[in-house]
Amino acid sequence: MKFDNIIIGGGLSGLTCGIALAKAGKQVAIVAAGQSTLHFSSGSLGLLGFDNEGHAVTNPLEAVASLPAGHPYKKIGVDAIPSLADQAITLLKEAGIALQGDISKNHFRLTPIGQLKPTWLTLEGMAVSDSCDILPYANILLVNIEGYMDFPVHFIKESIKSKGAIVKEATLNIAALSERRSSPSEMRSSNLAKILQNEGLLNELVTCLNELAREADVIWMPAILGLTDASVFATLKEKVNKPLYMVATMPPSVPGIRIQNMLKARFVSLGGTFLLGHKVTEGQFKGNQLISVNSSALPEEPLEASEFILATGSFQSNGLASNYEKVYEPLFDLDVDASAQRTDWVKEDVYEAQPYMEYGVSTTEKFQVLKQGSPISNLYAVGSILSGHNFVKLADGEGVDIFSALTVAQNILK
Amino acid sequence: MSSTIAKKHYDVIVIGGGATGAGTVRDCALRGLKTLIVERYDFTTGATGRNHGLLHSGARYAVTDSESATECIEENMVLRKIARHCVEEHDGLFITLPEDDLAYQAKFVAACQKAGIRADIIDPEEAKRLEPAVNPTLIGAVRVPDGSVDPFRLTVSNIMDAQMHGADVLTYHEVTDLIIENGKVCGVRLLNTLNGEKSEERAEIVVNAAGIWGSLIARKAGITINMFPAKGSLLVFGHRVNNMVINRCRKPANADILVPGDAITVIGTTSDRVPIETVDDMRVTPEEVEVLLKEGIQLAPALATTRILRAYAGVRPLVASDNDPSGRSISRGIVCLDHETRDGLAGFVTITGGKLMTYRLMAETVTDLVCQKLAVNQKCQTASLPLPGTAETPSLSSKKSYAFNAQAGRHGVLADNIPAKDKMDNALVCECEEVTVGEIKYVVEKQHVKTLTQLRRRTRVGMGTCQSELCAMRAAHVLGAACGISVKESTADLADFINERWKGMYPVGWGPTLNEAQLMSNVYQGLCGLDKQ
Repeated sequence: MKFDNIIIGGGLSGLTCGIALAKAGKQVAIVAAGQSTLHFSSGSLGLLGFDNEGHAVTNPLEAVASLPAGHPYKKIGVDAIPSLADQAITLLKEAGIALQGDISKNHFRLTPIGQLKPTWLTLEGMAVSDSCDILPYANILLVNIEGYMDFPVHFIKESIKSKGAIVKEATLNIAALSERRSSPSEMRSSNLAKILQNEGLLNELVTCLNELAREADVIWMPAILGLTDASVFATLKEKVNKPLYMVATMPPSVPGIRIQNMLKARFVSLGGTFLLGHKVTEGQFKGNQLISVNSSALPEEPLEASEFILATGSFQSNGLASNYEKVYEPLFDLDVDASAQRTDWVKEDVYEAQPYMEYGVSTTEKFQVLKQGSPISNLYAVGSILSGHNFVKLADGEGVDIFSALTVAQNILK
Repeated sequence: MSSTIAKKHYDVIVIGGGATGAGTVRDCALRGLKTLIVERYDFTTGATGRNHGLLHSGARYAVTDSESATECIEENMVLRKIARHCVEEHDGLFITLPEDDLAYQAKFVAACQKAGIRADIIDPEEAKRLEPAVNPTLIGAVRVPDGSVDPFRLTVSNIMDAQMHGADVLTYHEVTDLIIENGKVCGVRLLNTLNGEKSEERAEIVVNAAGIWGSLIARKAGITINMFPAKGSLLVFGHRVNNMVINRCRKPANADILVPGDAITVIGTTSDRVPIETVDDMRVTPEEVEVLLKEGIQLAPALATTRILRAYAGVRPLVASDNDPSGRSISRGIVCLDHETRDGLAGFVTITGGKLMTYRLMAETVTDLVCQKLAVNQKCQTASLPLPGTAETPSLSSKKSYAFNAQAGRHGVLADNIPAKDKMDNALVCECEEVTVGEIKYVVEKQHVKTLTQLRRRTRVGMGTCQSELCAMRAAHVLGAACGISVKESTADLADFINERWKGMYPVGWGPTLNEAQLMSNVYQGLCGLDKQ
């Protein structure tokens, strides 16, 4: 099979790159092995939440200038970021993903344990605040579904109280959901979201919420609505008498799965080919070019393209790997930026910046990867597989994913 | 500030919440003595919780230390009866590899037989059939009655039985000093290591069962016990590679025992002398990891490609008797010191040396001495009275919760007492190890659990394949509610727990372990925003 561009990896960066290329008229295939880290998403997209010293960033656009030279934003070009951010918002909007946020001022997302953390964009419908000290509501009803354990209400309640708001806790006991509890793996956010697509059930939820929320200004509930789009939540919001917001849960993340599904749908609607369950097993190189790749599902059918994009993620996504001797890129054995000394990879205290977090493939200024010291001219890397940043410490993961993907798409389209 | 509450006067205070202390408090309580056990942290935080979990047949010591070998096999047989829910009876192999001297096998078998240990030479082909994970190049194999034992469960069962017989328990109480009056130890001064409060407790006799820390306790009374701290490092593999214990049939050396237990496999140990000042801060070094891996692969080649979950180290409380730098040729025998006759200090005895396998015998030995001093004429019953949980097979037929079988494995017949009527009680917190909300409530109420790390020791929460990636938050939430602690404390506990898990992972931080660590950081630090408290 032959395409203009083949993207390996179906997470946020791969999908973004795929949409940008497909929209420009390219024949694009995304080859995705399985789930992505969007399943661990907060429902927010961070550009730069913290600086290198760990201080919360107020204006991410200003703060990117002081990042160290190896950071992917520096390769992208700090000056290019405002325009890339506009493109990103347009791309997401065209995929039907409505977001709140302002690039010149971080707002604060509510974490599953009730903390307020700086971020750039958050899905509409999720609870946020403009300040890390106060919440925009005085009287909050915090609702959970009975038996759902990935929403630690005590933690969130305590946080609400510490910000000076009044909070009342309520547990919804809905028969159709209750039945699920006899099987332990059923009470997961993604399963609840599937069940709650039922309109009758949603009406039951409306009655309960309206009853409980008489005194409250606002209702907060776990983000367990809407795997494929925002319509279930919109329906519920419309029928409930009080403003309704969702709070991020422990994984799996329904908001993240929704982002993934909506981007995928957009990609496909633009004519893109999404090959799910295809693990790329090897590539054929000729000179400084990648000619084709093979996938586990189509071992006899080489997938050819003019340009390839590697969007396989970091260690947690198996985009990077390590063994007793070295850190390596497992698919093509590309050059990596990583210490050769195993004892350098980790620090004893988990809360210290872990050096391995910044490891990634080596690239040129244009994000072309290197193999044995030489650039592969038509193989680009985007997203978390890039070296030079710690997404846990900087809260910049989604920004790097999206901006590197858009930059590479531009480079290819030039 | 002194407490106004009227204090009990105990017959015996036991210092140290390891297997030996727990066994001693049980034995004392069964003999009708008013007993208190004090432990500076949680139970099993010393060497008891940091070893192979090997139910020794004694074969390993047969050639070099026949006295220990005999003690081992006798206690091995006792534990199979009294602690059935804590042991797995899967036997072990002593294999000879091409580079080993096969002549050692005959010497080994003869020594085993002399010590009363069943040792059957089997054909290498038969060994491969019995244990498919064994190194296929083996040229000899001997089958012995090795097994595995869960030291956490074993210790807590002893404590529970002691309490049922009237003993008192103070965890998180560190002995800061011994109370000495008129040349006699009459009690201990204590520091609550959670809130800093000071107190004291009095007794006729104080038993020092503090393992390697016992020499520091004795020092408080001006007594020198020449302890010989020998560090042993071990690695835990991500699944149960072997189903029988695999040993090398040669003179005991580094990393030559591979023990399966529950869902995992453990290789160990190294042996290195360490200064007594460092025993509170044991770290596994890269060199030790290298030795453990290299030798482990010799026993079971599949280890080369098996995910390593974590690394840990313990310190053997050997009592020095010569200058052997490795610590291996020292007898693992039991040392019971009567400080009245040895040092002229009445009311104080030390029980040390020995090993996990002989904890019960150590307890019996020191309790005999205590009874003799108190002129109490009661026989030891611990070799025949089953521990709580082991008495009978739990009634599986009438059950009920999804996780009951796993819980019965952990708590024996006492699993019947785990709340399971309510749907919420049956909700699973840890899916790898099948820990329910009810089980958390149960261990909070009955087994002195206040923190996630303690919860892990009692229930195995977070010890499975996911290494608490998914369950730590759930467990923190449920535990916080069950203990009635503040969210601030719960958050700090969760942050500590995540770091504690990482401390065992970072010495083996490569391969899938590193991948999982990144995901864990992504979820807890990234998504949740958890940070050092």
